[in-house]
Amino acid sequence: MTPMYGRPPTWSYWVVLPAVMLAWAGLAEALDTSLLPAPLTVLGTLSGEAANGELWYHLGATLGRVLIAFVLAMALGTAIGVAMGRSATTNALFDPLLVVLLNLPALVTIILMYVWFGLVEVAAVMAVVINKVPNVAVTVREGARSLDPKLEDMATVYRFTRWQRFREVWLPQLFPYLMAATRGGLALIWKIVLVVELLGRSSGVGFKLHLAFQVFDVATILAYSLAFIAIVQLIELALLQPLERRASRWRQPETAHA
Amino acid sequence: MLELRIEGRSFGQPVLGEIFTTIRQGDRICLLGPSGIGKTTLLNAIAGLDHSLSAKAVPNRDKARVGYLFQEHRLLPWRTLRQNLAIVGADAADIDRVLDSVGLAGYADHLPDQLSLGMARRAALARCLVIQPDLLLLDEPFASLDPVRATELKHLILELLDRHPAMAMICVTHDAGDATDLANRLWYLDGQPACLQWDAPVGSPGTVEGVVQTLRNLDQVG
Repeated sequence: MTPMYGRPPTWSYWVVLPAVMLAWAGLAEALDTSLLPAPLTVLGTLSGEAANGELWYHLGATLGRVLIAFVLAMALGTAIGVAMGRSATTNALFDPLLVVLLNLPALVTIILMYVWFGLVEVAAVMAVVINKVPNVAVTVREGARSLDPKLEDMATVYRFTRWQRFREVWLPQLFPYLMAATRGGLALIWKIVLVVELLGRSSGVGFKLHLAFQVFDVATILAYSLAFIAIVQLIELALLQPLERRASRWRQPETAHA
Repeated sequence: MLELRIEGRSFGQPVLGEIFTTIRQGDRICLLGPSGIGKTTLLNAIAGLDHSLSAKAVPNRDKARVGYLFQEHRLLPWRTLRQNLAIVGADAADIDRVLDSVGLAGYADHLPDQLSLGMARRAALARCLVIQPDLLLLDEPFASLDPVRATELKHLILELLDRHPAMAMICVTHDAGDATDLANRLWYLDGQPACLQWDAPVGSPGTVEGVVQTLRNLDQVG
């Protein structure tokens, strides 16, 4: 999304998405094959999976992995990114590693983790974290480099503690970068977690997709995809956007002159 | 009170040369000198911000509390005035009292960017005061204020100095008038690298004649 166009008006979602649904329904009707089930069939599968509890179990397993991997990757990536942005030595040490890790295919990390540590939960989460940390670090590094030196001096003169400096001076300035890392992070982590589950776990949406793939059960594949999209949007609307609004309230204040 | 020893930068073209002097309690120093000579650099060195200066600057700086009014307000833009003052250690009663004393009684819950330039500068001055500084550093406090606001702020600072006679002050200014009104001691920074060409008490503090005489002496020396 370029700044030139910004976010499209809400009605476009209510026109384009139903149009796609209609086209999908029409195509399914015309082809009449189990490889392209109609939207209603998919919805039926979805409600069936929800009723028998499978959907919640697998979505829950995936969500849990996403959450743990996300928290670990953000914490680690932020720490590394801030250190790199603030110290030339740390940057020199970590930058070559980042270049390697950024270009390493996610699939390779996953396979290596499974080979080295076995098909266990820790290996699965670690694979996701290792994939995500470099992105977070690179984004946060930009933020750490752009920290206002004038506020640093102010914090020194007024003897801010380390915690105050982080909480009151750095964090608000890093916030846009952390949000960018969060957005990009969630999108990436979701996808990697599915691959991790597909390759080596016996629960989660990825595992379920794997089962459905083996029997060409397209309705189940599409049903889980829809549930997935819904959850991601829910997180965006219920968590990320309110958080962003709250944290950027100070940016456009009303001016009071006297 | 403060022993000041600055020995310039050890590499490249030093901005400041050797500066040895003492700042005593109740000193009201106006720091004069040509633009770009390093007046702000000297203030930063005194505040302990310039690490490139091989400054054994102030031996007991760790004990002396320094309030620094920067050219910009440098309040945290995401915090209200109340929060900005609380962060540097003021309790609720102090905050209201100090904001009242700088004429910002009703503005405790405003964000810095909601204030005009003059108000924001007074808020920053309030932050200097709540830490009860031994040394108050003012970097061109009247710059870019209209004459009325500048005069108001000057009277405010004079009042504060009267109320805290032990507090020392160093005020960077271009204006001999400011020096007339505020100083009992003048520093004149010039040269390359810049040194204190003149470090003199104002003959009769607070009078035009005293400052003019001192400045005339400066001219003769320079």
